[in-house]
Amino acid sequence: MANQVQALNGLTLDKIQAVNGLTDAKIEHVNGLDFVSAVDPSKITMTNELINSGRSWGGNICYASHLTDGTAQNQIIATYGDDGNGDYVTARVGTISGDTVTWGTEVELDDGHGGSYHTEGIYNSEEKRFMIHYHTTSGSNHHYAIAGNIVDKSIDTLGTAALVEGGSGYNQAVNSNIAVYNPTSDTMDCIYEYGDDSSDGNHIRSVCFTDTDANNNLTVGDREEFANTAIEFMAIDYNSQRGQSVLVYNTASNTVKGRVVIHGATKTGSVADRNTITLGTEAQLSTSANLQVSEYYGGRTICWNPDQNVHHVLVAWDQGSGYVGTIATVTIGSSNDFTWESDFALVQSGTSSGSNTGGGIVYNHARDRIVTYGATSSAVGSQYNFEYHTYNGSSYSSQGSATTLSTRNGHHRGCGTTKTDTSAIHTGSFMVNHIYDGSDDESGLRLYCMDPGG
Amino acid sequence: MPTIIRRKSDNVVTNFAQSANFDDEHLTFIKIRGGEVIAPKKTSDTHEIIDNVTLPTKYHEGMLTYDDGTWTILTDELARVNANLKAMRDRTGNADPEDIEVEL
Repeated sequence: MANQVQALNGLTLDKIQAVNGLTDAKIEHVNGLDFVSAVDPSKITMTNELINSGRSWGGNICYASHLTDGTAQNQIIATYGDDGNGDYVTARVGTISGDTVTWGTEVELDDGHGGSYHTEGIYNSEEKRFMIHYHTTSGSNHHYAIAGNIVDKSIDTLGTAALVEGGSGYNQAVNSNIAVYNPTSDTMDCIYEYGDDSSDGNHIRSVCFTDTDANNNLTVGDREEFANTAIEFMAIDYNSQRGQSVLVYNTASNTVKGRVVIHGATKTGSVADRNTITLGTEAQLSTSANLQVSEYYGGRTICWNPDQNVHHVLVAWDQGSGYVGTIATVTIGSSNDFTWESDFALVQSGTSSGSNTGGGIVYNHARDRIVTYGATSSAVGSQYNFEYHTYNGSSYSSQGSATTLSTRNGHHRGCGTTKTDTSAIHTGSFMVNHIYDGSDDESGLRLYCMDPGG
Repeated sequence: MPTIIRRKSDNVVTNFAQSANFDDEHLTFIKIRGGEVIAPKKTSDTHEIIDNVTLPTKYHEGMLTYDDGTWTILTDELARVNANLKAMRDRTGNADPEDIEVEL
């Protein structure tokens, strides 16, 4: 409900703390009008925030609304390479009740392909199954995908690990945004830097379930290059208005471009057609910005705002006096054309660029606010903050300050967020990271909840 | 004394544990530093549990074989993985991920 009460006996909304013994959180109506008190942005400390003790590489998290058997059950699925168990790609599934998370047992997803330092799991809402794209140390840093059934606080019935990229020459990933679920084609679209290319081009492959049997095996489509460049800063998102995945990437140090991803068929088509990717016309978005806010080992730099049908992109933008963290707006037109809107907003939290800042962006549907997060510099011990912006379709409003997210000493790594809307389980947005370097090194993979207020 | 999980096909040690057992046809174990793990793809057909093992000075999953009480370092595999990790460090300019160290 939207607030309809602006004042009570001369007290403005922010001054109302209690009426007849009811605290503001308990007041729902005043003289028939809806009452919603203002909530300040805050870090919510989750009970049982520790997901895995010790070092945990490439942390990420996704949200699932159902078990594979069709039972409605909201869960979060954390993924990481577990340094305490061969760096193997691992999942841990939890349920949320209030500010408490109840974790299931850790699940080793794949031990046959070495360690994993980048992961992104997705909830396949069509199949109600779990899929994950992950980097490994097998071969030449080959990339793999695997899938399984979602059960109560766990993943089981794993399929065979499918090779996503096996090219020689050290395939790379740079942060925790290496996959997105596309429900229109019922595919997981995976991005990475293909190391075998002479200029280390950036590529995408589509992955989908091989069939409807319960073996959870996957089929991988052909490689498609979306940027022939040695620069590996890229991001992928899904546009639910257009029904297409969207890429943004650097082609030069300060040139940001974008494309839409076009699948050969929708979810009712053949596996081969669904996995066939062509790319929309490349659009140049800026020659004075880059996607380095989340370099390296940070979170995603693009998020989808379904309330305004725009993407928000976190960039380092040359504002004349230097490159500073900025939220920019991208819309996708009916002809798959990109428009980089003139709307932008500066961010106070997080450094504008630089490795080790653990930066990222996520859209919070429950609060209708955009959350950005990161460290204020790449130095060990820098403050790790978040802040919110609102967007009304043409302009941004800023929190104007930063909210402390973590005082742990070290570099924040992993930093993936739930991409999909988690309003059903919490008003905050979830993110995971672990600490490398500093006095809190190896303090474990932890769950963070950022409530932007409203 | 620690427990190891060994792959039957090649004697490669895939996990180091405090304890382990096969529950419901899959492996469950407690990691050396604590924390329970389920490994759905490991069964008694593919892997075996060996209890009360003296571990090498430095060890890492997938980098050693254990056969009749003898540890052997998979030197080629170790060199290949460390080359992968170096490529990651070279790309990012960061100090991690560090090389894997194994020592008998």
